[in-house]
Amino acid sequence: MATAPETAPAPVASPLTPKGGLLTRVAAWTSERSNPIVVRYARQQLRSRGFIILFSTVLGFATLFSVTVGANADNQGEGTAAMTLFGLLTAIWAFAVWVFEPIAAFRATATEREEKTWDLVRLTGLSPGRLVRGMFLASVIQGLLYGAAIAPFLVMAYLLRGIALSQILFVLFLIPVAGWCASAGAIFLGTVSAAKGVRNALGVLVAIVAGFIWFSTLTIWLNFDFAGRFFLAGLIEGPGFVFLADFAVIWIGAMLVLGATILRHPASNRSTAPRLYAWVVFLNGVIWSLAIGGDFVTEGLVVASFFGAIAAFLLGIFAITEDFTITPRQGRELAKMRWWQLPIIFGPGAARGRLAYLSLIAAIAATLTFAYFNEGTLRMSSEPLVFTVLICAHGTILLTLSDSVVRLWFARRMGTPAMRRVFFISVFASLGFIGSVITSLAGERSVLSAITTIPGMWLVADRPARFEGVLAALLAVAAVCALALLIQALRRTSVLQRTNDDGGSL
Amino acid sequence: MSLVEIQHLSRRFGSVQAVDDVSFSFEAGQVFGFIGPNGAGKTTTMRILAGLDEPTSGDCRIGGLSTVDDADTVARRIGYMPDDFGTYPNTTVLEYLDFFARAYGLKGARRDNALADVIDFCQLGGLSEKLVTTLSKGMRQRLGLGRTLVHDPEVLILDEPSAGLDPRARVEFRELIRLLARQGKAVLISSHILADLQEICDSVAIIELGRVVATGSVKDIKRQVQATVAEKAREAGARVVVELRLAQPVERLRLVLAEQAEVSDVEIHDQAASLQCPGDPDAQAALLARLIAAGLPVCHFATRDHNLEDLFMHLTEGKVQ
Repeated sequence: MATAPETAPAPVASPLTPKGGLLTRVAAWTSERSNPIVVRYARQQLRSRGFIILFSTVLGFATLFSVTVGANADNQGEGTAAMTLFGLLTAIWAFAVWVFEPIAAFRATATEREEKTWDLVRLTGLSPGRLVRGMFLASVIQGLLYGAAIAPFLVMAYLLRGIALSQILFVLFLIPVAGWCASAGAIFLGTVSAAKGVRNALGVLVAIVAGFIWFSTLTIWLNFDFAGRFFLAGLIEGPGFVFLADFAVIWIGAMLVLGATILRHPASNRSTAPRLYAWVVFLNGVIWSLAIGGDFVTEGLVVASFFGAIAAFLLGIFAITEDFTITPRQGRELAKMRWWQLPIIFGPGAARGRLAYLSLIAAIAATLTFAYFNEGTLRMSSEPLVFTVLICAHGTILLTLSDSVVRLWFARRMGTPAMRRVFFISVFASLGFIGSVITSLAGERSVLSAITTIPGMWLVADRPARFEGVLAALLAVAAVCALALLIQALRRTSVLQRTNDDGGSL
Repeated sequence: MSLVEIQHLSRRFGSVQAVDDVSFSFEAGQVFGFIGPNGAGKTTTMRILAGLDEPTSGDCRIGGLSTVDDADTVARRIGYMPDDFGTYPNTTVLEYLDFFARAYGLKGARRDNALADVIDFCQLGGLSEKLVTTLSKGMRQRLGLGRTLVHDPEVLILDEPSAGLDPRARVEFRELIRLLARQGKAVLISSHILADLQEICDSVAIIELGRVVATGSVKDIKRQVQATVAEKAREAGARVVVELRLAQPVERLRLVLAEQAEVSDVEIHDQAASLQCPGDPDAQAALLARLIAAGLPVCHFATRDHNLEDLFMHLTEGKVQ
């Protein structure tokens, strides 16, 4: 580094490098290997007025509740007192990690974009993925701090007797995990827009949703005895924990992948990660079904296909509406992809996007076919299977037609991927609305009702035998649309644009 | 091959050609000034050079590596200070610099040394525990420079670093930049305060409407401009400002100058004067001969030297996109 000649300093240890005992050295070692965003954000947050006030409030209320409930334990009975104290403590802990944490995480992420610091961070080589992961991990650490503050009081509630260890474990699991899910969602929303108006609106949305969820669960915490016996018991005894944990992991992963994708340079490859993640969602379900499905493998595969179909639908909205031409930067990134990364499917551009969508739909179709023919029949109702098929069919038809329409007739006014997405969502919403009107006017039994979006899907899935012809026709049209997508993909995969007008900047 | 080369760089935003075939180069140890009105394309060029934006065509190379094709490799060799950079709330000066040092991958003692060096160089020592949001504009700019230097880059890109600084802070900042160039760093700097650039720049590029209208050392550009001005003056009969100095004070100076029909706008300060006369060199020679014949001890007679501001005004038309 440059030094002023007259004052060339001897190397000086930064005051930020702690010296001292084993614990300090472990902390220093950990900090040295941590994501820089975690270190910075944790420092910022721990110094913030909001954290200090809330942490003190949590401690203050926890002490107050413990003293009050403890003093009345003789009157209430220890078991009831324990439940009351446990419920109150859970409620304030939930407020900290379900409401305050997501709002703080949203603000930190949104501010990163607004304050023009992201350019500087990006120059260091820190990837968008590390940024959102860092934000998330810092949020996790902060949540754990609230947990550490509340833990001694939870132990006190347990010692009052009358509360099962499993209930405590459930709360110790649910509160932080739900908080992390909320924070991941808030971080994603924080990346959505750098515009102040949008940012403020999303901030209000995060606060309202988080506050509503906390408020609506207050009944559970304040009636913990009842809830523990009737509502939570099932989750505790069954595989609920595992499924909740899996859902949380998939949700958090989705939010962080999407957030990092949005933060990437518009001219770079923003396609591969979400496309891969759609596959992860589907394969996650398939693996669960095969691994622990037991006698219900077939049903598990249908459920996995259902979530896969939703993921494919969302993937389709983004992948099919991309530009066919790719920027030089995307071209370079595409060239760097290894064969096993399947660039032909997961590379950027609308052509590869079509292949990504079709490949996932094909995998879902194969899984559903296997599920249908496995053991001859399904133990569960066929409704979920038909509904999943319909999601794939309707999705393919709508995506193909709306994309063709917007590219053919509105190419000048809606020439960007964002505008094509807006167009698709408008078409989808309109058809959903029109479908409801048709269903109410023509009656549920009419064929016209059966081909509409959403209400029609419910109708056909509910009575597949009645609408066999409609189902066959929909599948035939969907197959034609899929073929059209495939032809478009194969014809235009190699197109590479060497200029990047409006490629955008950070 | 120069350390920094901008080659036929163009960048288009929709219908606006922000940068149009810009080329220039400079070496390690040089300070290169980038001058142009608002909207001329300076920041866009600098962002492309820093790897933050992509050109529509052309390339930027640092040590032979393209900032477009090898953006990740080149990024570590560049320190970029935008005109308006963000800071983080609840973060001290030391923590701010520490974060960027970590982000650049500096670890342990190497990071500690880098932080100590930067804090010393930018004279931030007394402020290291202060929150960055409470710093004055001058101190913020020093902090920005510190952040830019923390990974010891070879090339510094400074976009309007002295904007909004008071005169003392500007002079101090100028000194820091001069020092960095002396230490072998290649510095690309843009500024509206052209007097600052004149003081520190070895070469400059003047850009307008995305195109470079002049490039080279300040001296070279001056020579070109003066030759053009003289040529134009001769052709069009235009008038120029001439500076005159006498060996000793002469009371008759004003009277003698007043007697010269082609002289106007005379301003006299002791034994020096500035006046307007025809731009034609023959007419100027005749005027000088008459003044000497009138007994004035003339020791200096020359058209006024152009400073960078004059050159800028001469070369640009104030058009923006």
